[in-house]
Amino acid sequence: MRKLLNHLMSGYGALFFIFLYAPVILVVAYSFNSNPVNVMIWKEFSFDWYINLFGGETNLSDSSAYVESTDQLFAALQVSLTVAAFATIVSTVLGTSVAVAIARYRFRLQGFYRLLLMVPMVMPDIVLGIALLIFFVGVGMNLGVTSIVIGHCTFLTSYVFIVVSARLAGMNPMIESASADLGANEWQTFRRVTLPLILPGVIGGALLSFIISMDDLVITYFISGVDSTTLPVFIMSMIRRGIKPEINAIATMMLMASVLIASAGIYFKSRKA
Amino acid sequence: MAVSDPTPDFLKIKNAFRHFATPEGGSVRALDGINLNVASNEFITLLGPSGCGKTTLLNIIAGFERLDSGSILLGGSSLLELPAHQRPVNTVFQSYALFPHLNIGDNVGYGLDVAGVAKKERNRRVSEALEMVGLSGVEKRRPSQLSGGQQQRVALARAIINRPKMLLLDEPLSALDRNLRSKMQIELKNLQSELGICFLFVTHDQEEALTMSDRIVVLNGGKIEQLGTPDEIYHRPASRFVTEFIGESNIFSGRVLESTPEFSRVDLGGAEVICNNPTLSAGEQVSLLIRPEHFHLKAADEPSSSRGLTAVLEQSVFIGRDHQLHCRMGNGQEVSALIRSSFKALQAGQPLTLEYDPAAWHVIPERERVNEVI
Repeated sequence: MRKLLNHLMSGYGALFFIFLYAPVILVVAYSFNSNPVNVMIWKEFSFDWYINLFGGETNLSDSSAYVESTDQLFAALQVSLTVAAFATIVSTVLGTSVAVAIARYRFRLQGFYRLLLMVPMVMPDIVLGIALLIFFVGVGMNLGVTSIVIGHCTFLTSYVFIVVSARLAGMNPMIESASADLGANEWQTFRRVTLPLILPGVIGGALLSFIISMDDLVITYFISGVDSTTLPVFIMSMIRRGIKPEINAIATMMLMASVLIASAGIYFKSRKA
Repeated sequence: MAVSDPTPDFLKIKNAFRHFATPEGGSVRALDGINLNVASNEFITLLGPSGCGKTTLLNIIAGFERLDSGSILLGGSSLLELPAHQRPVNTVFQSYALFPHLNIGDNVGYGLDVAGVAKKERNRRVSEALEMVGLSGVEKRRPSQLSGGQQQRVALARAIINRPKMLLLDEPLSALDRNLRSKMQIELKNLQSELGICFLFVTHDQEEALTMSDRIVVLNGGKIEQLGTPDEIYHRPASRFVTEFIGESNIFSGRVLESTPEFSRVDLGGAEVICNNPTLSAGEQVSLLIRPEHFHLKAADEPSSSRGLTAVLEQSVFIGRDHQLHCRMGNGQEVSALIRSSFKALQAGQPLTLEYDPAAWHVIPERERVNEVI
């Protein structure tokens, strides 16, 4: 009886993970399917979709692919990378500074500020997107890479703040007192003691910000201009013209990049000092 | 490190007050008018139960806390205006607070690196400091690779390398096991005389305080209960609090029956004792202290004397060289005695005469205080 129950439980566990990952595995598998007409019917293994994406010569007809020119795709990727890079740098600096300030100093409204820093993470994307759009239009700012970077920073700062705060909370504050006691001023203490000890958290937060920025669709959709389409927004517009197999190849490559960066992020975040 | 002539009032604390708000909305006086002068070569211990203000005072001298009012002078100049990193004092922390990301050499050399001392001299002083604490050749190891006792020594080396005018030690031995602790107590005392600087040592362990200190400051509720040498604190405690906090003691309340310049007779409620204390006057109510080790058992064939308390043995505990006797006097009061173990076994229920030297009695001044909460 007990054995049967154990078998049922492991079966349930397996089903649960199949439910979670089956769609993703299918996308990866079918990105190598050469059938140009029906995405879900397996024909034969081929790298055609990948070759086609990178502008290589294939025997696929033009109508079977979305991407009219590889340049468009690469332009979108370039916008995404630029946005992610700048948004990551700015939000990492801001998030780390505010985390240190809130963890190490005492000031008025401290608890309230901490709460305000958490809110963007639970704020509906739609609300943030609309709010940012109205704001940018209101102040007369042109929508483009800059507006997307500013928009992303509003919520990425929160992610960095939370990751770095967790790292700071696990640190013995006496260590910083010891540094001051030995003659180091606040800047020396930060550079020689605090920063090296929270660095894994800072790098983890930065990598997390980078993939969230690369991946963001809803907020970016509201605040991207005509000539500043990011990769997710570009893919969204492709999908509107029907699902074609090429999308599987793009999705697979994005997945690989995300997994790599996220793994690096987790590695740094949990690394012992 | 040359030993210079001691300055008597090197550290001067005047009317130091500090209070903290409690979560319940009240306020606790951590320091309630502390006045203290410490010599430049003194090993002074702040002793008291948790919450007595000893760590607060240390943190204020180190610069991690501020003072509400009062002044602290070190070598004639005020400390309070200086931020922690500019004060000529260094601290050994209870948790050691070693830098986990730096190796031992860089931990010990931290103060010199921050000050920009040239590499050659820095390395020389690092090995010199490690040698002083008996821990040479571990420069390349990480703090996590060392035992608690070794980390303690690193913390010590790191604190003395800047040649502070005063070393603050915040219960540095509390995490060590008993044997290592007694060893470190002696080493600390030796290090202090070698360096010839003032050590301000904070502890709640009375044995530790008695072993190492030149003078002990007994703190309670933010006030100084007594300031004195270990001998004074142990044998002539200034209050009931000090008596109960330091060592084992028998405390009796009584009324003085007769007082002459040579001796006094005090009635403990059914039992009478003779003590040498010329300050008493007949009719006065007093608290009397006698330490358990100041009793001795009278042999059966000795003539009876009036200088003994009769009591019935309730329990005898063998603690190695000595026996701890728990007895009850005729009037129901408990009395404990510490006597040298002998081959003659004592039986529970056996009547005993606990003899004493009249000079062993100490009259505790009646100066009772309750911990005040504003």
